Amino acid sequence: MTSADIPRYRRILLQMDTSSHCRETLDAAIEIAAGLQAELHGIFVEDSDLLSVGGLDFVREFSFSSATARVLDKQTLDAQLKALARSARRQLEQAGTRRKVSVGFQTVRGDFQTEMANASRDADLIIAEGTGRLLSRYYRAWLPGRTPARRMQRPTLLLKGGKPLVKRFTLICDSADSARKCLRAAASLLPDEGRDLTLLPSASKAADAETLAKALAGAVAEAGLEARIAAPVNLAAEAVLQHIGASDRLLVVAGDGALLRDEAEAHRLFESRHPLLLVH
Amino acid sequence: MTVIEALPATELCRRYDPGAFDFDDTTQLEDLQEPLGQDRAVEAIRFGIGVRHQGFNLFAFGPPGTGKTDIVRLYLEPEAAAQPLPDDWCYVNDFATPHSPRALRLPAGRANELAKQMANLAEELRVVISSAFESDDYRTRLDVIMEQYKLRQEQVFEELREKAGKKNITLVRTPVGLALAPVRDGQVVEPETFARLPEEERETIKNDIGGLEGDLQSAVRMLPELEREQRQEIRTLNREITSFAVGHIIDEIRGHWAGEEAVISFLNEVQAHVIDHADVFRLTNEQMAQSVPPGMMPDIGQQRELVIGNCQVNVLVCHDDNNGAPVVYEDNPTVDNLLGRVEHRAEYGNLVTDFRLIKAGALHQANGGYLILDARRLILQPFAWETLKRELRSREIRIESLVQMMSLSSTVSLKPEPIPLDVKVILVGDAMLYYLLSQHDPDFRELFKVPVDFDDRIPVTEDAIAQFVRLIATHARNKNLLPLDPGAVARVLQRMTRLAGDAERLSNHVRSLVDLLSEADHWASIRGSKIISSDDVEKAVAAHIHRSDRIRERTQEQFERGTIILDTAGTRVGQINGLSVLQLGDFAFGRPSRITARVRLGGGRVVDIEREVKLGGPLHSKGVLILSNFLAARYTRDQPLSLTASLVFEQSYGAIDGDSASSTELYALLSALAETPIKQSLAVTGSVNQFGEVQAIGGVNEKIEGFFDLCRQRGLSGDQGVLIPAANTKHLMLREDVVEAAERGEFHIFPVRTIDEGIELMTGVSAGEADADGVYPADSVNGRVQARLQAFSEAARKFAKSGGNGKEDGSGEEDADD
Repeated sequence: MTSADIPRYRRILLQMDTSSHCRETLDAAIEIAAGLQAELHGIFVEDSDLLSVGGLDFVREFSFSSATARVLDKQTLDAQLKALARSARRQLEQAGTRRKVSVGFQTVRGDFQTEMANASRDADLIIAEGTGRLLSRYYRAWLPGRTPARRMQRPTLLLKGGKPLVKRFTLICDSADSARKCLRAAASLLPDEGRDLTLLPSASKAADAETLAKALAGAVAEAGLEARIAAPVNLAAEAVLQHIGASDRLLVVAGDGALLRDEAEAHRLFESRHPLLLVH
Repeated sequence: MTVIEALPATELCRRYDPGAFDFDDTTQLEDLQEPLGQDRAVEAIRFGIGVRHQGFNLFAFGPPGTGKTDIVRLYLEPEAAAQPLPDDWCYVNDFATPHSPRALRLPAGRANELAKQMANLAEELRVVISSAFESDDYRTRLDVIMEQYKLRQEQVFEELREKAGKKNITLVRTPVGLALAPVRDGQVVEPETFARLPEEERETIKNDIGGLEGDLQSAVRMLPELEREQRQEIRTLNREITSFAVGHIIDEIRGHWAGEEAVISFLNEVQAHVIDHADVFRLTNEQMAQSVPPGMMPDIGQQRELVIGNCQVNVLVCHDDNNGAPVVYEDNPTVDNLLGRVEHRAEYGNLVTDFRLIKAGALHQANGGYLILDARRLILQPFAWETLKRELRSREIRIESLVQMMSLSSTVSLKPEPIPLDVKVILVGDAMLYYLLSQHDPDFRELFKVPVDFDDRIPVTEDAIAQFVRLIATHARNKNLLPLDPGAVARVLQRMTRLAGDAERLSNHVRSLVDLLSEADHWASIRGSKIISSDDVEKAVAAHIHRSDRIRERTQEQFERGTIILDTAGTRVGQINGLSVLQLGDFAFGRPSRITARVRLGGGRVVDIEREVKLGGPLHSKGVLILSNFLAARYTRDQPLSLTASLVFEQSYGAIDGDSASSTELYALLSALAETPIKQSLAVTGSVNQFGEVQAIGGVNEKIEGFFDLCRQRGLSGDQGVLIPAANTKHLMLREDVVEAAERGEFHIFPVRTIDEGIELMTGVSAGEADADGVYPADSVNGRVQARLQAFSEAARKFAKSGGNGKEDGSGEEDADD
């Protein structure tokens, strides 16, 4: 693979929501866009499920700040969503001006998964915040839709807690094909020389590990990138996380790979503190 | 008539014989180790230094330039060096009450060690604590806590979700909270669909949701509590990690301070403080933002500096030079410079301070030793004197600014813990100040019990001369001046005797001596000599006088041009040449003045015109009153003094004081009464008492030289001279040209003991002695005076008898004026 073969991310789609990490996620995303000299488009989805809730006059909302109940009427819900969208847009525009990054923003209403899939068609890279406790105040709308994130046909970067992008990547590879995908996506995301790429061979059978490692070596050589190949681990999220240890690393993993096809394994990776780059 | 002989030239000036010195130049002489002629002062200094009781502070006083401070230091420094080093003092943060920094006493020389250890500690803390929190162990334990609480939260909601799911109800995240809504096929039931449901089903859903809302509310309420518990558990973990990481570092420091309870206690507090604030060492601003609500988020860098700063040590005084007790001279004794001060720094437009900005004052520096202060400067600085007394009385140093002392501001500032004070203060000043303070300040004698009285002159003895010569050599050497040959030394001695104003004394005024030597060195250097000769000293003296005598020259010029009228030849009745001294800076010169007297019938009063116009000082008035009584007592014992006389210093436009002209005025008065002319070739100085004895006065040399200069300017006639009190003979140290003129018989100095001796010299007429009845010979001065006064008395009697018209029979007038 030559540098010409490495795709350049020109248009980035940032999923924006109401979480408390939104601002940090935006800052991290704007830095990535600035580094890649890419456009950053924010999308704020007004989920149809939520709008349906607003139409049910007997549904009451319990706010996190007071735990008091109040009727959630459609008008209030509309106003809340519009206010949140305006806030997200303002933050995006300010960040774009500050970092001299071209930005765009859209608010869409409808099914979350569908709207995200539609919006991502023109995107080279999708960035979203992937942190959160499922139902706590840090709950993120994206999380129930992790399945679509895996199915997105675009590289999808799930940040954790809005932390800036680290330059140390661990590429979880269960095949030479996944290694090629991961290498290409990693090189696109961080084209500079300061990156640290480690390929982690993950095989379900110990017997396959050696063969896999050799295949990965071939993929690295083919890519012409500087990368280390770590000792093979079992194809399991726990084994991968144990291998990484305490250091903060970006996990690059094939969205349609064996690891993410297993819901429990996928959940473990999503819940870890490491950001994820899902590639296809 | 008594014949008064003029003094021989040899008595007009003391000369020192260079031939008597057994050295070629002053390099052959040893240094003089002890101050010359200051035995009393030295004894007082030794006593004052030795006694350590409260209040035995010293006040060294004497004329300026006598080397008081140097002499005090000469004895103080060796004594101080032999004394043990006093303890060091620091200020540290009081963690309980930060506005009252705590004073920390440390063994001498160890304060900087502790400060360095604490500075290093701060550096290590950053690394060690960060490392501890980066460790796998910590991260794992932290993840476990986070996971546990996440699971606990999710478990609550998961149970609710499952419970709700059984009733086709789901949890929905709204923008600000959670809600329960009915679902069908994984989608929230749309309102239109819900409306089409049977009434019974709709009610069931509503009831189900209503029943679950209680659980939801409980779950939401539980969130803050769970988060609080989680924070507490994380805090406990952080404390444990920090305590372990910090403990061994601080233990190492503790090891250096075994037995120093105050330091150990401080270190314990530091450890607790660091553990309490571990977050500032391990978190970045971004990390802090995640754990603290936005409104409460501090600037982590600022917080870190604050915590580190609170662990530091502000060294006020550290005695690591091993020079014994300190000897401190504070040149500018303001309140701040004495007590120290609390400085402030600008921070975001505000002035802030902390214990690190406490600065030591002179009292801190000198604590356990000696503090030398200039008394005059101390008194002149606002509140400095009162402050010093307060500290000495209370025996502790309390750092307070003037603003605090005077309650001019209520701004919150630091109140550092007072430090015990054990210092001996040596004030250096002039005698006037010492006596004023003694008289008017009741505290002064309680606090400054040791007077150190410096003299500026020593009797001329062989031993004193030998020592003084060594003193000259010592100063020449210390100031890197050229050596002096014996002639120069003799000339210096002569000059110092002249400065003493007494032929039997030597001035040991150090500044004058050093200035003279320095100036002589200058002139010797200019002529390229390697040694100072008598000519160099002579030139130095002449140049010094020349630089200062412009006014004297101007005065001489006025005589020359006749602007000021004064006769130096001939005779006049009621007119005499008096002599006064003008002191301008460090230069004094004599100025002759014409004094005139007129008499007439009157009520027994001598009018001092100078006093009438308020130009005469009290001493001058005293002299005039004395001579009035002398007249009355001597000449009119049995009848009233029916005289009015007036005395005036002609062409004198400034204030006159002193009684040195009283004999002069009496001569003029006697001349006027006796109508006997006075020789204008003579000038007179001397005070007189009620018995007609002439008494010593000051400035005799300047007075003689002043009249000599005038006479020389007009041409010395051989008749000219000055009458001086015989008691002043020993003070004569006249200029060389005056002595030479006297030697040639061109100018004369007459020592007189009584008015009678003087009047005979002035008039050439016998004074006359009273017979047994008190009657003087008619042709004598006294006889003429007596007759004139009797005539006045008779006239007065007649005048009174006539009823005031001047005629005994009531007709005619008599002009009684002379």
